Formats: sequence, structure tokens, C-alpha cells
Amino acid sequence: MNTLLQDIRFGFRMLLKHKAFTAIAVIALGLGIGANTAIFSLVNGVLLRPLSFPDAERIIYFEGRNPSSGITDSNISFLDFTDWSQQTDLFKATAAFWTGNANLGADGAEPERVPRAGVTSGFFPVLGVQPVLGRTFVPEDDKPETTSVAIISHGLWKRRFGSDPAIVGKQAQISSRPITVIGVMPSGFEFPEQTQVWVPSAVNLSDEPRDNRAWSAIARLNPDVDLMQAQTRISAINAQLAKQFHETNKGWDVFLSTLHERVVREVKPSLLALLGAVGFVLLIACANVANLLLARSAARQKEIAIRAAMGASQGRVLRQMLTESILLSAIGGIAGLLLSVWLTDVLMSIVPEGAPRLDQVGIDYRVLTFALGVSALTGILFGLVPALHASKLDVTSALKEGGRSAEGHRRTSARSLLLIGEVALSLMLLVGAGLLIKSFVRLQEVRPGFNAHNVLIANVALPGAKYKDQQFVEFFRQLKDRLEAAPGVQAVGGAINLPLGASGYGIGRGFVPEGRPLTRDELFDASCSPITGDYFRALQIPLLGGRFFQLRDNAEAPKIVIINESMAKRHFGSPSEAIGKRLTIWRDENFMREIVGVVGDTKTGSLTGESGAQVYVPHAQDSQWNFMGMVIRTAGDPAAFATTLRREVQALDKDQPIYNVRTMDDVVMNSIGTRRVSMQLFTVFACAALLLAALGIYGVMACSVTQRTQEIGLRMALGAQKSDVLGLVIRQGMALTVIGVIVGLAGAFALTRVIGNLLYGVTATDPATFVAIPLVLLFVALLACYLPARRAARLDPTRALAQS
Amino acid sequence: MSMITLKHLERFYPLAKGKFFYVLRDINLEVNEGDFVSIMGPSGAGKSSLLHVIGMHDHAWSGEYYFDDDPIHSLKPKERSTLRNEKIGFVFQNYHLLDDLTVYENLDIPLSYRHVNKAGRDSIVCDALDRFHIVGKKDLYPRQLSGGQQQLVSIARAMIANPKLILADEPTGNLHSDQGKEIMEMFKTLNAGGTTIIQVTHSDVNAAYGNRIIQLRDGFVV
Repeated sequence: MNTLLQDIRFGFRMLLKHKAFTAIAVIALGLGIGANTAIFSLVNGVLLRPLSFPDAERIIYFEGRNPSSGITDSNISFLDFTDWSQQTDLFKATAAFWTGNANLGADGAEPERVPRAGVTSGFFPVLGVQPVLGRTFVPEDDKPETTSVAIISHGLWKRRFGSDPAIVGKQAQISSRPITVIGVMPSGFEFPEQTQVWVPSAVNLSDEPRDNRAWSAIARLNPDVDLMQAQTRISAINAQLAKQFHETNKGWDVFLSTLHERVVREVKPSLLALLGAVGFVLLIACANVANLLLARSAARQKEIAIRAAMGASQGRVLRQMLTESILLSAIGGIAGLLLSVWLTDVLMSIVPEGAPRLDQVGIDYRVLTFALGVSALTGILFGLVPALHASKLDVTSALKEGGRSAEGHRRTSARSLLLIGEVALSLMLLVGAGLLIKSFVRLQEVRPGFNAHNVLIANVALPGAKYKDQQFVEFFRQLKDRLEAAPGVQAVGGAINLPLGASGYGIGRGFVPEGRPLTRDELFDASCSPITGDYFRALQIPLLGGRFFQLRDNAEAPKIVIINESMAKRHFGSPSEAIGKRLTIWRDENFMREIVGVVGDTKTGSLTGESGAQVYVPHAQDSQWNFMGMVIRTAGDPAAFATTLRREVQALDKDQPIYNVRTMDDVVMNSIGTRRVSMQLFTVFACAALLLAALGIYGVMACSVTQRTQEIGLRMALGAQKSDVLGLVIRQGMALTVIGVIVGLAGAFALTRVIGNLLYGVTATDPATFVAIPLVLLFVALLACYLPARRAARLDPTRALAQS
Repeated sequence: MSMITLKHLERFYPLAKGKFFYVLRDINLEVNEGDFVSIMGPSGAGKSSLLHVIGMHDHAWSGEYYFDDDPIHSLKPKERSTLRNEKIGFVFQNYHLLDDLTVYENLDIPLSYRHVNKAGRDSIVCDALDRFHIVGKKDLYPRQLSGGQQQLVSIARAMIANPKLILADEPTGNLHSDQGKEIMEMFKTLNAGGTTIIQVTHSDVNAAYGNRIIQLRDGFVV
């Protein structure tokens, strides 16, 4: 221990003696460790921290799939769920639920729209959460007539009900219906999707169709059951159900995963790719610091030789050198940890809206352990090669007066290898960034089918207890008229299915063209949305044939639809041929609708997805829908019209809230948010890597020129011109760079597949990127070689030869 | 009694095309305990090379080498290091003090490498500082000392572990004559105390302090 303290004391002294070197190394390491720690804190919070439920790893999620129809990530059928729930040897508890929203109002406070979930009685037992006040649902609450009770969140209780301790048993107006509050959940519990109000699912089993796949389901596994066992049994049950209910269940199965896995599935690949990328940057920083240490070790040869002559064993020298390295990396680690706090805040500010589990991101013991571990590992990584070099010194040669050391060659080889490694890693990062940038550019060129600029959107959901059918239609018609009268408003419309899923809702139905049998095999799926007002004009979706809906297309008028271009071409040949044809929306309707118009395709789910078949119906002719995603085209900044919208809605109904208020530009930006952030971060990392590699190349070449000063002087004395010397040095540097580029290209071919799912319109082995990036790197390397080469070419041969 | 016996000792470096360059050729000599030996010869004769072989820094030689009847030629490098740490101390022409350690720490470090505990090291170093009259310099760094003072510290360091043999490579080469005389007097005192000394020197004056001279020419003992 005492000798270790000696080494530590000496290490500090050496770091203080070489302040410039220490500062450069600490900055490089601090940046590398800080960036890694920041990304890890994101990974830790989102991916590693368990869900905040007891034994959360036992909670599973049921994801509907129909491989033969290419359907994944579907909701499930409630009746299928009741069959699975009977497997009590597998599941301790099961629950099904749906999500929606509810209006809060009529209590004098500002009307508010809050997320709501309808759940079965097993919901809270599955999650293992107890209320802080009152009770949760019991099996009796599952009966269809039980609709007048609710459980509220802690936040809502505090915000809306003033933390009233006597809230249990009191009535509240939820969606214009009196509801009795029976419980309050603990602070922070808002599953699923920031739910504020939980109501009983109220399913009437005799009325529930087996193919109504509108439910989500979770379960808690029994202690002695694993996921594989549960999957095998449920799949067997589903196979049985497919035989028994051929028409509704053919091809359907479920995929079981942990709830945690389900929550983080979308972001996991991006986060892991970023962690890998930032790890590369740290490796490059380590290689740079290792090269600096190797350069310094030339000056420390004498010291090491003396120590060996005084009796230091190879192990003792190794320990001393590694102690100094770890000391350096510890200082870098502290700087990095401090930097990571700021970097984490920056990351959180650019992460796209809606990313899961961001509330879990922070510095905890795992992050601190990671920072500590990375610091120690970094110190060993960059210190090992120089330390091994130093410990294997030829003492005799080093101590001899005027002796030339053979160590120079070994050290040069090590530095060359480190440099090749740096260049290779940089190239891999640069290729990754290049692919992501190209992909992002392609994505931005995608035409969404509408004009997102100067458009405000907001959801309005009317309570069923207050309005019915044509009253919904009338409300939205009046709202449109009032908004169109406001200064600066150019067009107003509404739809349930907004492009890019902007409303948060989507109706999908099946349709059968006229003349085809009304059977399941003839059914085509389509996104099917009632619309109101001047929806198409508000979004500037072009009319390709026929006409838009008009006021006369009311409930008494002939039933009509407008379809999109893709559907017209696929099913009717062309837009013009589709006009006048008829179809039926089966099995919701038993009559024909005439196609009166064809509009351009719009992106429904995402910019990268296909548009698919899209059907629009006049709200007046499908009036059961109480909800509209309102679309307002404005002359100026659309965000400024939110107040106008709220005012006009509340002028029609003072208790009616609006929610999900955003501009359409924000929706488009957010739809590519994950890709944008990944691209930005990768680019930052790649640029940092390029800079570090360039500095590394410069450092190695500068050191090489210093070591070869006498040789260069001799060459010049023998007749070498400046250009010969320039060529000599640049060739040496570029040779190493080219080897690094070749190794890097091989690595890039292997590794870019990791980011394949983040790419759009670009393959992971895009030839143009794989050619352009190496050229960029080679050019930067050439610049880095040029400066030391120019110094070498300017050497005075006489002075160079005199140098010993 | 013979402390060091060398028989047919040779040291060479391989060159290209299977050729060799001989630094030491067929060296046969004995050094008795208590001797004060001076190795002399022209530049390139192999004097320092011989010193480093005797000092067990250099392992790339052939022949036989006995130190206190231990067959060094049969020992592994690690075993030689252990023996060297126990029995041999070095003094170099360039002093070779560690620039970033104080005088005290320069004396302490060889003891640390020999796993002497802290209390023991403190005691030995204090005795050495006293013996060589450099107590007042203990907290100074080598760059703050004169050449003679540095060489004195170097000798103190060589003696710190109480070796049987001191090897000195041109110990006064970088000193002026007064300082050099002081150093040689110190060696004489150590030798009188029983320490065997082998020095490499170009100086007849310095050689006169010893009781024996070995001449080397082109790697041979002449």
C-alpha cells in the first residue's frame, strides 16, 4: 500500500510537471467519458431501470399478430383474452384495457381533456399497485352496467380536486356524466400513456364481436412460469381458436414480451447504436492519449532505465506507469462525470416528444458505476501499451552514454498500429453518420401528400352523454363557421384520421367493391375517416378527379365516399375510372356508397410508411363519431390561433376542452424525431472522431519528423530537395491512413447493418457513401500530414546533422 | 577469496547475413573480495559492456560467470535481478538520479524496490544522509545540486542497500578535478571498509586509487 501511495504521489507530480500534456489528455478523456456517461444515463433510464412495479419482469404484454396477412403489433380481441385468462396455472392475474380520453369540466374550472383508460378488474393486481385512498376495481365492477365509478391519478387529485382527503365517494363530472370516485392512485402511477382516470371496461360479452381487436392486454406470470412456456401454451390455444372460429381468428396469434420490452422496443435499437458510436469516440480518444504517452515515454527512457538499474522489477515499472494512466483517466473521469450532467440535460432537450421513460433518466448508482468503470478501463486501455513498452526496456542500451536505443522502432510500430486503429474507427463512425445524413435528406424529400405549413391542429371530443349523432355533426359545422369568420383563418376542416397519426386516433375498416360477394375473403382494409368542413382545402390535399364533399351531402342525401389515388389505381384502374363506382363499408354498413371524388395520397402512419387505401365519408353520413381532429389553415403563425380556437369551442360549449394542440409542422418534425436525433448525434460523434484522428495523425507524423531529424538532414545533405522530403513524410502518414481506411471499410461493411432500421431510402452498404467518406478522410489526413512534412522540408541540414 | 570469476565470456550483436559483431571476446578474469579494480582501454574496447555484464543488466552473453560461487550463467533473468539487488550497487558517469524525486526520495527508491518497510527505509535513508553529509540537501531536487553533489548522492544511493560490490562507470567523467578527487577519496574509504569496487575509467589518476588494472582492447583482456 505504501509503495502504491509512492506511485500515486509521483504520478501526480508528473501530471503537474507536464501541464500541457495533462490538460490535452484530460480534455480528450473528459469529452469521451462524459459523452459515454451521458448516453449511458439515457440507456440506463430507458432500457435498464426496471419498470416501477413490483417484480416488473413478471408482467407481460400481448401483441396481436397475423403473419399470413402481414399484420404485426395489433390490438387483441376481448373474447380471445377471456380464453387466455382461463390459464390460471400460467397467470397470477390478467387484464385487458382500452385507452381514450375524457372531458373534465362543469365544476367551474377550465375544461380539460385527460387521458382515460377502461380496464378490467385484474388491471391493478397485474401491476401490483395499491391505491393511496379508497379501492381499486373488483370483479363486480367488470359488469357492463358498472359505468359510474372511476379511479383518479394522484396528479389529477392534487390539481383538480385540491388533494381533498374526502374525495372517495364524491361525485365528479367526467365527459358530462356523474361519476363516483372510488380510489386515488399513488403519485407517479399513470399507466398506460399518462392516464389520469381509470374506469371499468364495462364489456357486454354477449355483444362483443370476437374480431373486435380494439383491446390491449397484460398479465402477471406465476412465479414458476417463464415467458417461453406461456408463449407456447397461448400459441397452442390460438391455433385451436383459429380452427374453432375460422372466420374471425384465421392466422391470428399473439407475441408475448415483458411489458418493459414492449415499452422500450421502438427506441432500443437507436439507443444501443448511439452507445456503440460514442464508445468508438472514447476508443479513439484513448488511442490519441496512448500515442501521447508513447511519445512521452521516449523522454522517460532514461528514468525507466535508472529505476530498473535501481532494482525495479518489470511488474513494478508496469504498475507505476499504469498508476499514472489511471490517475489521468480518473481526473478525466471526474471532468467527464461533471460534463455528463450538462450533456444529459442537452440530450433530454433534443429527444423527441413521446419517447418512453424519460422521467427515469438521471444519475444513479448504475451511472456512477459506469463512469467509474469506464474511467478505470480507459486508463488501462490507453496506458497499457506505453506501460508494456516501458517495462520491457533494454536497460543497458538506455543507460549507455550516447547509445542509440532500439526502443524507437518498437515504439514507432506501436504508434503506427494505434493510428491505424484510430483511422479505422473514425471511418466507421463517419460512414454511419454519412448514411444517416443521406437517409435523413431522403426522408425530408418525401412528400407527405399535404402542405403542413401554417396549419394548426387540435382534438375536440364531445361527450356522448351530452351530444348524439347529428348533434356532433352540427357542433363541428358551427365550429367551422365561427372559425372561418375569424381574421387570418383561410380554411377549416376536421377528420378522425389525421395524416401521420396526428390526432392520435385512426379508424380502419374493410370495404368491398360493388359486384363482389360480401365475404371476408373479398374484404380490403382501408383507413376510413369521417371528415367535416373543408378538410382537404385546409391541408391542401389535391383533388385528382370528381369533387369534394359539400353541404348538401347530409344524412338524407345519397351515400358517398372520396377515396385516395392509390386505392383508385389499385381497385378501379385510375382516378377517372373510379368516379361513379360504388363500394360498401362492410360489415359496418349494408348499403353502397358512390365514389364522388379522388384525392392525393397522404402519409397516414409515418413518412416512411405506405399510404395504403384511404376512404373518406361525410361526417353527416356517419354521425356516430363524437371526435374530430380539427385542422385550421392560417395566414400567419398557426400557434397564435390556439386561443381563438379555444375561445370559439367554449363559445359553443363552455365545458368543452380542446387538447393535443400543435402545428402540423411540429407533427411532421416529430414524426422523424428519432431519426433526426440519431443523425445529429452520430454526426457530432463522427466529427469528433475525425478531429481526434486528424490530431492523432498530426501527432504521430510530428513525432516521426522529430525522431528522423538527423536522417532527414543527412538526406538533404546528400541532395534531397524540399519536395523529396515533403513526399517522404506525407507518404509515411498516408500509408498508415490508407491501411486504416481499408480496415475501417471492412468494419463499416459489418457494422452499418446495426443502423439499418434507422435508414430510409439508403442501403446500409450504399456505394456512394462508402466511396465519398474515405475520400473525405484521406483529404483531412493529407492536411494533417502536410504541416509536419512542411516542417521537415524546412530543416536546416547542418543543424539537423549536429543534433544527437 | 574470489568474488567474481568470468570464463570464456563473450558478448556479440548479430549483423546481417549471419555475421556477428563482438563487443567482448573470450574474457577470463577473477576479482577478489575487497579488490579495487580499474578497467581501462580506448573507446569502443568494451569497458562499459563488461561492466553491465558483471552488473547483470545485460543478459545477452555466453560463457561462464560466477558471483560468490553462484553460477550466474545458469540463472534466469529474474533470479539475476534478485541477486543484483542484494549484492551490487551502480554509480554512473551521468549520475542518473531521478530528476523528479528529491534527494531523500532518490535514496528511498532502491529500498522500496527491495520491499523494505517504511520504518526501515526511513532509518536507512537517514543514516545514509548522515554518513555522506547531505542531510541538508534531502529535500532538494537533483537540478538544485552541483555535479559533485549529485555524484555523491549517486554513490549514497548505490550504497544504500549495503552491497558487496560497487560498479562505477566513469564516475568522475563529468566532474572537474577537485570534485573528482573528492569522489575517488570516497571510493577509497568505502573500499577500505570492505566494499569491492570495479570502476571503468580513462584516467590514470583515478586508476591509481585502485589496487589492480585490467586493460581491454577490441573486446579482449590484454
